Amino acid sequence: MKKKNIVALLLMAVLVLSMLSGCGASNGITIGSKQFTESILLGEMYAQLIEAKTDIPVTRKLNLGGVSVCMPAMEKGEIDMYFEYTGTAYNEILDHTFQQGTTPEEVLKVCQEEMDREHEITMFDPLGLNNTYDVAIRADRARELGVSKISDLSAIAGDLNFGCGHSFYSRTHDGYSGMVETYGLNFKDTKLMDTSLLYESIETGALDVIIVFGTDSLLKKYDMILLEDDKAFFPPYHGAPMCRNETLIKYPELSEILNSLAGEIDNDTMQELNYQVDVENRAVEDVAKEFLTSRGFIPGNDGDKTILYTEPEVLDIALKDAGIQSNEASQVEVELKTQGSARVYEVEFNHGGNEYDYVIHAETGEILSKSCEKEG
Amino acid sequence: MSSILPAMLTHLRITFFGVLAAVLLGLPTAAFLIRHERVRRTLFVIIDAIQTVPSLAMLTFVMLVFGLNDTTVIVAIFFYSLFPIIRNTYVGLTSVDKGTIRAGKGIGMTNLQIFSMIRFPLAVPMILTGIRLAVVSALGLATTGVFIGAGGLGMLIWRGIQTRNMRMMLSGAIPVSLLAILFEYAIGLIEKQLLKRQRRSNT
Repeated sequence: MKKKNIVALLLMAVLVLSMLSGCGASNGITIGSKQFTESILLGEMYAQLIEAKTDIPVTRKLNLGGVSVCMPAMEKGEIDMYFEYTGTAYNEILDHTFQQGTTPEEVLKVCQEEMDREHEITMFDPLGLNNTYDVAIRADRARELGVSKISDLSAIAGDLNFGCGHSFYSRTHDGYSGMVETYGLNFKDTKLMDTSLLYESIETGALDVIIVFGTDSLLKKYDMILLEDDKAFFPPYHGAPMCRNETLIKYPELSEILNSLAGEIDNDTMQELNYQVDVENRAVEDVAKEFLTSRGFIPGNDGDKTILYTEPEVLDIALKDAGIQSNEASQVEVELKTQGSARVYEVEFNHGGNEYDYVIHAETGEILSKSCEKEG
Repeated sequence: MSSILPAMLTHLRITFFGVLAAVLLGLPTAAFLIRHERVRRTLFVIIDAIQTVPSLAMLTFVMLVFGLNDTTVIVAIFFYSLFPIIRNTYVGLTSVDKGTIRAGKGIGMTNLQIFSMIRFPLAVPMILTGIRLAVVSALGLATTGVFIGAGGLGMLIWRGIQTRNMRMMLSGAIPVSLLAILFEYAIGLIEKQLLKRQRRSNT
């Protein structure tokens, strides 16, 4: 028996040692993310940016379990950075309670100061997206009912069915009870269900108004619009990268890179990027890379081979073809889309009372179609 | 398709090492507890309490020591497996027929002999039951390892659910279920064979 015990202990020791030896010293930067598409996608973008602009080795630890895993991992140095939202940092990390009337700028300022002071973490400037709770309604229903703000609903709420997830319903400050009170909403019926079923219920007509997140890809799929939060009831969830100060001291060049996406990704852009992953089932790496190249953040060519034309480049191609100077064109819109199996840019602009419309192959720069019509 | 096999092997490796560690520590512990009633009571309260810790909380806690990798999941599985393994082994060792033990003493067996020739062999089916329960629940637990950056089939399942990609989700969920059924059946079969042999030698 004694002998057996000793053998067992020895085996345990060997086992533990062999497992521990697996994790080497952490050099370079480790990027974390939460377990949903947007967080993973943005984590991947920062990884690609750092890889393209520096020699710092990048490790990806994407798809971690929310703020309750990410923050301890940051504190311990298991990850060096991840993408967080001001509302989450304010409410859950820093333990404040959001009061209606606090502006997004105030929330951001508190987050940046206190994350630095209490956690030695730098929160960079937000990207522009606001992934907060939002009230959504189908675009055609909204037109029919003539609503664009949440307060428009108060008069007609008695005819509408409302649906939301369980977590929204049970939130004390910024949840269901606060919302109906603030806006004076008295819905015909309120249904609680898993958030993934809300959109399907909208489609079948079982629900009229639902609670969503502002950057949900399915908003686009089901052609829904967000009602304006005209009483500023919902806390701001502006997304921004956070990085450990220690890492920024070790690699000072990181600050500029982590700041480079500030103000560059609004809700529509984020929705579109999420859509490509969630609905079109494209790989996160491809979507991230394509976005960064099309916006000119990382070079679009690899040696001689052009991978992807950037937005300014295709605009140039279209303008040159039309024989127009870039400063003469107005209402310019460039959008990257999928056409069949190809990635194409749709370029639109106005000039001299004419509306120009180009479709250009994103990889070859070839003009696939063009049209020019009288405006209006 | 190509990513399923490596993920499955990682999944098996995590499960295997976690349960193995619990077996290596659990069996001697259970044997020790036969003669130490007070220690047994305290220890059972502790392992019962461990069992009630939510898996994400456990993983986060263990992560602080072992980091964002497979080791953390292995350690978490080890903790969760202590319960079925120690409890079943203890029950197996103590429910041996008193008459048999007295007979052993009667023919002059030492305590060590009684343990190694009577108690332990007769407890093996119960020990296997414990291992079977531990393995099946560990296979499930290993899928949540994805939340602390570990490998395994969990990534396919969770990403599949989030992106409503049914094929991806099933390509993770079906192998996990098959493995669980396979282990349940295989270990169960060994248990039955052992019990049959024991019964035969009794008559």
